[in-house]
Amino acid sequence: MNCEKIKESILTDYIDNEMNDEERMRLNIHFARCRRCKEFFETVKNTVVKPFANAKKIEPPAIIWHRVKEAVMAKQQKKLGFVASMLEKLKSAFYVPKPALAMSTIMALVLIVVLTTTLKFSNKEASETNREDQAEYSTYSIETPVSAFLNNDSGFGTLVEKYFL
Amino acid sequence: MPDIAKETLIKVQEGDIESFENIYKETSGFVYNVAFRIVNNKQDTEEVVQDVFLNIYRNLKSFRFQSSFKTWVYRITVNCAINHVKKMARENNRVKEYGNNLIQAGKISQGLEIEKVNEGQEEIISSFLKILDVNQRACIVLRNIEGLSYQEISDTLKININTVRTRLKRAREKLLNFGKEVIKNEL
Repeated sequence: MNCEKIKESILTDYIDNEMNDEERMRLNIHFARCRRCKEFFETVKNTVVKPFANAKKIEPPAIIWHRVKEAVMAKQQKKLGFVASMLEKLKSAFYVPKPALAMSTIMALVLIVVLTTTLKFSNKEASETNREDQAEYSTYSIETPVSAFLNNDSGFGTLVEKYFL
Repeated sequence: MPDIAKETLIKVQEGDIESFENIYKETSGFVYNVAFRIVNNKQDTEEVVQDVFLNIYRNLKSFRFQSSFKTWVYRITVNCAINHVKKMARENNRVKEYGNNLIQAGKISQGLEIEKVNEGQEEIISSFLKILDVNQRACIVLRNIEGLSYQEISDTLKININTVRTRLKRAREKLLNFGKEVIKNEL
């Protein structure tokens, strides 16, 4: 087995127990024959792995939670504040005046309604009259034959007509 | 990290602060430790942890229970920590800081024997993590301190499992070379 490849495995899979039993056995057999690789393994284990094994576990200071909680609460408040301001905007959009102005507001509203309705009705009457005139003229045009206009010997009986005819 | 009940998560999604506090109690320990190892500075860690929990609160509404909650929290933590480190690196003079870290790490490690000196352990871990780039650091923290498997690291960081392997290999090679440099300086 190639010593360079073995050293690569020592630095990773072998030292970290990421190898299957068969591969591990193969490396152990190699160590029995190759002193250099065995020494390299001991160096790696003692120099770069062992120092981390007893790393102290540090307790986080209590102040961190207080700061986190404060920030989270502030965020929630901001969210609530946003909802409240939206409600306020909606309220102002549908503003109801105070009793002192209530009567004048109602009067104004009634006036608007009355004016709108009256204008609507007068327009309706005018359009109906116009429609009746048009219908009368059309009936007259259809009932009177064209020849009555073209071959009317009697004409209208005016002096001017008589002069030209 | 213990499993969080689905009901608790649903309550938080509905805005229940008490349930959120329960989640905080259950997860803040590992969130703090992972963030601390990646950021490597207590003051900045507090800022990152705060950011992580605000992210959890904000994004829990869109959590669909398709992936594990633990993996999801690990991902948010690692991403927040990495982003913070990158932001700090942009603000500072990166090359200068890296040089200073090497000198500082060398000074700390000189004369310390890993096996014998327990009180120096934290300083050694800190100096080791400082010489790694932030992506390698995240992999080392998740593997060597949190004990995640390659598959779990791959799911957490959303990277290919071979990328996890490569990052761990390069990180360890860097640490070995750093150890050799320190020994050379001692001699």
